[in-house]
Parts: sequence; structure tokens; C-alpha cells
Amino acid sequence: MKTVLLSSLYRDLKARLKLVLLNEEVDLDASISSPDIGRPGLLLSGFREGFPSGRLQVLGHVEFLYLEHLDGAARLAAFESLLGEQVPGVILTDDRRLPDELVESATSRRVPMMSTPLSATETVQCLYSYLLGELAPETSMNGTMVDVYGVGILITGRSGIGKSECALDLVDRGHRLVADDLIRVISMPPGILIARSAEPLQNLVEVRGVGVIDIGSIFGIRALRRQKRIEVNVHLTDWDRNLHQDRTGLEERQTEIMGVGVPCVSVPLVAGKNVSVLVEVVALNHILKSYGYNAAQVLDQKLVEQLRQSGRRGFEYKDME
Amino acid sequence: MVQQNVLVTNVKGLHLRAANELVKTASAFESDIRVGAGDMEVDGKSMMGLLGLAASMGTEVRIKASGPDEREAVRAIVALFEAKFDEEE
Repeated sequence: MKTVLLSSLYRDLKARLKLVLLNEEVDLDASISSPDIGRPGLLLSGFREGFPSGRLQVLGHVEFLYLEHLDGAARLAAFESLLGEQVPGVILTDDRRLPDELVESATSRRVPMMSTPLSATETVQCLYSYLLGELAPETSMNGTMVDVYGVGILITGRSGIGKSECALDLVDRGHRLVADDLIRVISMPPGILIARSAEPLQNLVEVRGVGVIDIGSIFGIRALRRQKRIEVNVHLTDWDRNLHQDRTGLEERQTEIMGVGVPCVSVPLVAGKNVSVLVEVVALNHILKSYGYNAAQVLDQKLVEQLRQSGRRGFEYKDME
Repeated sequence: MVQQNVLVTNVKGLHLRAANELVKTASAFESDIRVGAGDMEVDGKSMMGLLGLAASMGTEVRIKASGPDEREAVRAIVALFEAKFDEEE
């Protein structure tokens, strides 16, 4: 399982959350393994059951009101009950400060404390989305990733079938390359897959016969995209006359990547077929579908209606103008 | 499936020329060949994939092959690594 060190969280979010470390003598070496953020209101008031350990704790308005209304000894006891729960760190929001003895207690227990001028809601949101990204499961796969009219298309198929050549043609037609050959895929719940290039291969495509080429240098910045959500998988296959292929577009097949279903269009290759135009049409059709228009379904409904009517009246011969 | 692990022992690691040698060797076999390092596994017949592994000297690399000539394929690829891709005397 992936973890995030508190020190890297502090480094990455310091500017955005305007974080101030309140006890600098404490090491930020705790590791966080869940994106969830804790709000310790109930725990402070004495209800310990079901308290999830290992979460960063954010103290907001109500927690402060509660601590303020307690007298000195009770306040320290309530706060120490939180420190005893193996929390990786405590963050105070709205630029509030706690009495010195509480901070000292945290220091002696090696619990880092930070303060931010942002509200508790903003802080939780920022921490959660940061941790979600850092802790997201990641894998690598073979394929080519292109942004076509804003639709993230993952091109797959056996090695040598022409994925890179297809990407090159698409880039030439004004679309943007995300990654060629080796793709890093990050799963962001619920159901979102983000594709990126593996670090040393960014902007590069290998074309058989030509070698490794730099898309950024040849086509410029407009041909590149750093990351893109995988929305449709175009799977290139060799032509097989025995393979029964859905010709209507009614059937929606899916590929599973990291447990997430991605719509899949299987394209058999024959000489003379223009794959790039096909990929463009797949992308545009995906946009149409997302706007609620499915050409295959509309045609099917029209046919059913027409057949029902002609069935009632008998088949009428109509003169075609 | 046949698998064998091998260490990268040439100073430059799996750089462009070495990856090219590997692809050439792997492509001569019919078997499906996978090369892995760390949490990544890539097609042994794909140059970019191999470069993406960023396997430096000292990295342990997993060579897997499955197909009619899997044994010969793994042996040939392991030999390449052991010969340091003919880069050093």
C-alpha cells in the first residue's frame, strides 16, 4: 500500500494552505496511508468508540469552542486523549492558537501541530484531494494514449499493429499525445482512470523504421498533453473473417482496467482503412452519447416504430418521387 | 512460462543502445516476452517500454517468456545482460 510522509505533505501544501509549524522540534516522519481526514469533536468530548487512528486531525470552530469552554485541567486531558490516539498530526484552522501547555504536550508526545488561516472545510477539502492523488493506486500498461477532441482515447493492440503510427497521424491532424507505448495509469475513485507518460518517455514516440522522435520538438506544445482521463479504449486487431463483430453499435463492450470498466471499440485492420479518422469518429460519437444521443438506438427505435405501423396497415407500396 | 531474474551489470544500465539490442534479440523469438523491474512490467519487444523501466546498473530485472520457444528466448536475453550488452571488455 502507498503511503505519504507528513514531511512531503508539509512541503507540497505549505504554500497552498499557508501552513505554519507550531512545534518545529518534532520530526515530520509519520506516514499517512488513508486520504480520510479526522474531525475529533466527539473524541474530545469523551466518546472514543470507533475513532479511526492514523488520520490527520483538523480542528475547526466547534472543536475550539468546546476546548475553550473547559477549564485548564479538563482541557489538557481532553486534548491529550486525542494525542493518545496515534494521530500523525493536528492542524488548527482559521489561524486559531491553542494554549501553550497543549502545544507542549503535543511536542512531548512527538505529535506535530500546524496552523492554517483557511477554514476547516477548505483545509479538509485540500488535504483530502491531495492525499487522494498521492495515495491513488498506480499501474503501468502497454498502449498509446491520445487526447482526441478532448476525449481521452487509449489505443491498444498487439505490438507492431500500428498504435504509434496511429498516434502520429492523430497528432498531425491536430490532436494531442499523452503517452506512447508505456502508460502509467492512476486510479482515482470513483471510477476515474488518469493516464500519464512514464517519466523518461514524455513527449516521445517510437516509429518503426524512423526511431525515437520527439513530438514536442516537431509539432510544438499544441501536440502535447501531460495527463488525460481514459474515456474510450480503441482496440486494434488483425482482420479475422471468422470473428463475429457487432456491426450495429448497439452492443457496448467494456475493457476492465484496475477494476474500472472503460467503453471499448474493437477495430479490425484491413489495408486501406484510415484508422485515424475512425478514432476521431469514435471520439465524436462518445461526445454525442454523453449528450444523450445514440445513433444506433435512435435508428433502432425508428425501425421498430415503422415496422409496427406497416404491420398494422399491410405493406404499402409508396412511389419514390 | 519460463522466468529468470538477472542483474543489470553494465555501467550505463538499460539505455537506448542496450534496449535496442534487447528488442532485436526478443523479436527473433515467437514467444511473448515480458521484462519487469520494480512495480513495472513491459513488452520485451517494445523499445519505449524497456526505456520506461529506467533500469540502472544494479537493478534486478525479471525476464519472462511464454510460447513455443520460451526457454531459448529467456536464455538468449539473460546472456545479453550477462555479456553487459558487449559494452565493456
